[in-house]
Amino acid sequence: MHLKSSLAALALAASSLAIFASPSYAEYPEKPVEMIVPYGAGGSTDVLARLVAEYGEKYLGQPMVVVNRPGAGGQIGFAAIASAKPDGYTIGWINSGILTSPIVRPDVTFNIDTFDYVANIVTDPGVLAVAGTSDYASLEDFLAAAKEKTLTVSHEGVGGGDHLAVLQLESEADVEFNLVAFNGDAEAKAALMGGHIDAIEGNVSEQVELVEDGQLKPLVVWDSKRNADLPDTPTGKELGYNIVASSSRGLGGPKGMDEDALSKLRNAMVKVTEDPDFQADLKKLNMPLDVLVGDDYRAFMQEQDEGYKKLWAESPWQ
Amino acid sequence: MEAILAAAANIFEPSTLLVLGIGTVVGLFVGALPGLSSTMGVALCIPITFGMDPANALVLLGAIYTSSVFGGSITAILLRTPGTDASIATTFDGYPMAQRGEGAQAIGMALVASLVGGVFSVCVLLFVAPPLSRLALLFGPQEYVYLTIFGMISILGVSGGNPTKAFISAALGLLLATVGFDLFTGYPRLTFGQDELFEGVPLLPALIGIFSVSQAISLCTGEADIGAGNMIKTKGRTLPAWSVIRRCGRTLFKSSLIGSAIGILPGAGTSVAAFISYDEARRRSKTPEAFGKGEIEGVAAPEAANNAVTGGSLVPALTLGIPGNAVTAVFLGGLTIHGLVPGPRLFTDHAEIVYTLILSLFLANLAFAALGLFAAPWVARVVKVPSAVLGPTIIVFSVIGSYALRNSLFDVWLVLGFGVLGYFMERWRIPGAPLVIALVLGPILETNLRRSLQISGGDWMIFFTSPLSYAIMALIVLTLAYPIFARRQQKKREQDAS
Repeated sequence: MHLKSSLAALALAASSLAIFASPSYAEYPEKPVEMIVPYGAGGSTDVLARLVAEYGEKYLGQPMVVVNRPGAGGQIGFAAIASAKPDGYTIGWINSGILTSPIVRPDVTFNIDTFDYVANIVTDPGVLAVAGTSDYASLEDFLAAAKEKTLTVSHEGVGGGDHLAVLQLESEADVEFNLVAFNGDAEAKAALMGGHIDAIEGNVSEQVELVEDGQLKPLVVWDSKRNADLPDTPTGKELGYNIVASSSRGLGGPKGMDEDALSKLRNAMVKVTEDPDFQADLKKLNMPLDVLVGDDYRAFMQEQDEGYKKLWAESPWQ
Repeated sequence: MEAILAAAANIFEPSTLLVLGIGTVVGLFVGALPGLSSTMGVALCIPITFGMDPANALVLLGAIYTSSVFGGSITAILLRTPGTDASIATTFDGYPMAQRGEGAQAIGMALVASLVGGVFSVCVLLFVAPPLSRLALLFGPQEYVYLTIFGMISILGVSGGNPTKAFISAALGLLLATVGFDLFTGYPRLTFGQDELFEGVPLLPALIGIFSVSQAISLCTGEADIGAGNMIKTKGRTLPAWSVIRRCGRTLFKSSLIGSAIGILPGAGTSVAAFISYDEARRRSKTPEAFGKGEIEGVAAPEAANNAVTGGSLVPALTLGIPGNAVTAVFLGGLTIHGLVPGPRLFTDHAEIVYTLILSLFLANLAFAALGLFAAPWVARVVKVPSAVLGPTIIVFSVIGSYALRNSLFDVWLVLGFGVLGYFMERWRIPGAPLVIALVLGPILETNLRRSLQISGGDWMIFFTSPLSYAIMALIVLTLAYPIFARRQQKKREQDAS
């Protein structure tokens, strides 16, 4: 009995959400905007989302409500964003997963063309690092050694951004590493510092502190310009590798969003990212601000999409 | 030393004490509610700390962390609903005690054990953190393989006297553990096209289903009766007698040691510590047959261990910037927000704040102990609630909790499915605990096994290279051989006697 009634209550709650999303005729926004986070509460995207929601309310004039829809490495949330009603009341957080998932799984219901792009907020460049005590002083040293013997490099799961960056390096430098998958940057860093592997591929923000401490030595940053936190580390392009890899997070909505709503959302995000308090909070979270609005954001995703498709065509990672 | 004194002065500021109290209460609720994990509790409070001064912020997060681990034990004991995987082992003996009307005593022992484990691990953190963290790095994937196997031995201890059935249960758990995205190939395994299974069978719905929904079904059908028909009086005082504590003394100490040690290892997990400690206590007991039927020592062991993990897991987090588990990873985020860079220099550059954190963990342990002591006799009366009310209520809470985890109806069906599975397993006398242990430890074992082989290029000799591997291997062999040895000794004694 209790079971039935609680299920009924859940169903009721679900249907009332549907009513909530009915079309509106007054000035946008006249009710709170739902912001889908495709990951669990407490993760880095979630923390960022809650911060943006807090400042967003000030500039949008309506609360922004964070809704966690985790699962399938973000695919459930991405699909929910892409299939939402394009009235501007449902947007969400997207990343390079919207590009790589459709390549590997053609049956997913989203790809680069099923989204409208509000703004990119954060970009955390990829970085290849060795232990502080290691003999390799540069990427050149490391690659030369890799031709002599097998070197072990970590990544965080096949098909992820860091895995693809290492694959791109292998193909451009004509070397072969022994690639080992880890569940996250913490375990990989521990294995590197304990001497169990030779190098790790990760993101700048995860490594800055250990670099400052001398525990890690970054060899290359996969970005088009030098990183403010690692000013002494060369970029891939400087070293002659056309590889750009990063973990970026931005806001998108379903394709064909209401024009007025889209431009208001973009304006609000520009104002949020210009707010000095927001910038200070973001810095505390160790997240590098990288604002790309509208078409610029789309172009940025487009460039990555082409890189991934090329890599897939040449050497599919599955 | 100066820093420690300054930190002590910080702690007794009224605002700090207030924050400590709030954090403890919040943590207890977070731990007790099945839909909320310690990680979420800490994560959701981080934005609140933005405006606080660094010391108070860390006190808040530390209090939530420590007390949430204890909070999960209360429901594990009374309702057989572990709030997190850290409290799974607590249900083994805690719930039978509650059924006998000794819920308050079980909570009392859990409280003492948590306090001992918590304080012990904070001492470890305070005195030997930096050297220990270097030691933890020696653990490579191959050592984690051995460590997880060590944890799996505890399955034998919860076999309910029928190893074959326990084996079936564990095998089912291992099979379920293989579901989900394969990190090493990039393919989803055994998901049957269900996106919700992409990240594997979610642990909490499985836990809640097997342990508590199954029990709730039995309550509804009238097969099981918590508190034997509600006639039984909840008896005795909450705090265990001194003689009981002394009897459990060795277990408490050993479990604290195991918990602190495993906490230091990034990637091992709280439940591993609880399982190993439980098994160790059972094996060393003079009455191992009493375990699983409401032996108070079986509550003491996992409780001391899971709270000892809290201090241990902060060792690599504070000294190296490498979190020991998901909660401390979030915790680290909280540290950096306040301009504290984890690493060896943290203890010198920000000594006062670090020691404030460590001392506040001491106080947080005392605070949840005091709160628990006050609340235990009251919450233990839950056994007096008629089964016809309690059963459905547990199911409702399980459904809501599992829905809240991912906002997914799929998980609700999962929790109910596991509930029915657990119910029938119980009817057929197949123990549910081996399934859950295998489900928790399976992925750790598999990823580390395959990771080791990736590193060695497929050479199995990697498992026979390091002295550390040999040491854990020896422990495993000793643990397995001990019962045989003990039985032989006993037989010999009997023969001599006759």
